[in-house]
Amino acid sequence: MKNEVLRTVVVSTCFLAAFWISIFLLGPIQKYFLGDLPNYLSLLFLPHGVRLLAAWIYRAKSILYIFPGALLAHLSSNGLDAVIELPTLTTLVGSTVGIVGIFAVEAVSGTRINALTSMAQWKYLLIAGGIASLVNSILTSLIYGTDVIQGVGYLIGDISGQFFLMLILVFVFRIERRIS
Amino acid sequence: MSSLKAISQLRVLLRDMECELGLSDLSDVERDLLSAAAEVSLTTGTLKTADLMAHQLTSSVPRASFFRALRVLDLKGYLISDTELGKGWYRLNPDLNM
Repeated sequence: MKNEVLRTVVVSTCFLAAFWISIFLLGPIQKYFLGDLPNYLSLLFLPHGVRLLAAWIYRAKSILYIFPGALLAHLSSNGLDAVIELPTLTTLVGSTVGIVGIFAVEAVSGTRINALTSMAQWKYLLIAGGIASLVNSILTSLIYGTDVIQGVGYLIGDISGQFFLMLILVFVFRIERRIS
Repeated sequence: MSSLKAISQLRVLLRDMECELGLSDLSDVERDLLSAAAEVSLTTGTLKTADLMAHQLTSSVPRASFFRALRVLDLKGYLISDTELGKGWYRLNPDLNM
């Protein structure tokens, strides 16, 4: 039980941090170049990487680990009153799509991604991220009642966000290796 | 999955990504040798220079390049000389979690 709580805290904190970086740090840069985009649409949505990595490591349990972070992220940008509004459902969708993408890739490939010993794991994870993003974009667009173009925006943001988060981690571990 | 195993898996995944994107600080020969070392180590539990030279990834590498790569991996801390087993024996650095 203690481990479950710890994992929830760690994964949710990572999600929340990635969300805040995407919205409050990268958001203004995006706004400068592209102007206002609706519903906090980020074209570099780093939390999608947290979703996929958590789902890759913790499988279906990742839903529970991500959800508190996703809910807090949503409330931090929409206010506490938003908890009773329909778009809050996007937090549940966002917490679930990671493992959906991984299950889809595993169903097609016939093997568990983390059972692969080749150099292919990270590519499979990116494909799973693409599928997860597609599901997320469709459902989020339905919940917000938005159009296809915005759905494509979510898709671009999720995929690029996952790739860049993994790239950032590559350099973090590289620096850590050099220091140690 | 334990937290240590999770971090270990994540490190391997990101190292693979780093290599395939060409961001690695290792040359092709060094990378091949490291991959061979990881595989030989899994099979035999130890790393003998002769076994590494015979591996399919490194068997075609010129002898001088092989030993240069071996020295680089040793210097960069990927491999550690196993003084207990003697000269020509190595082990993977356990901190790399490969």
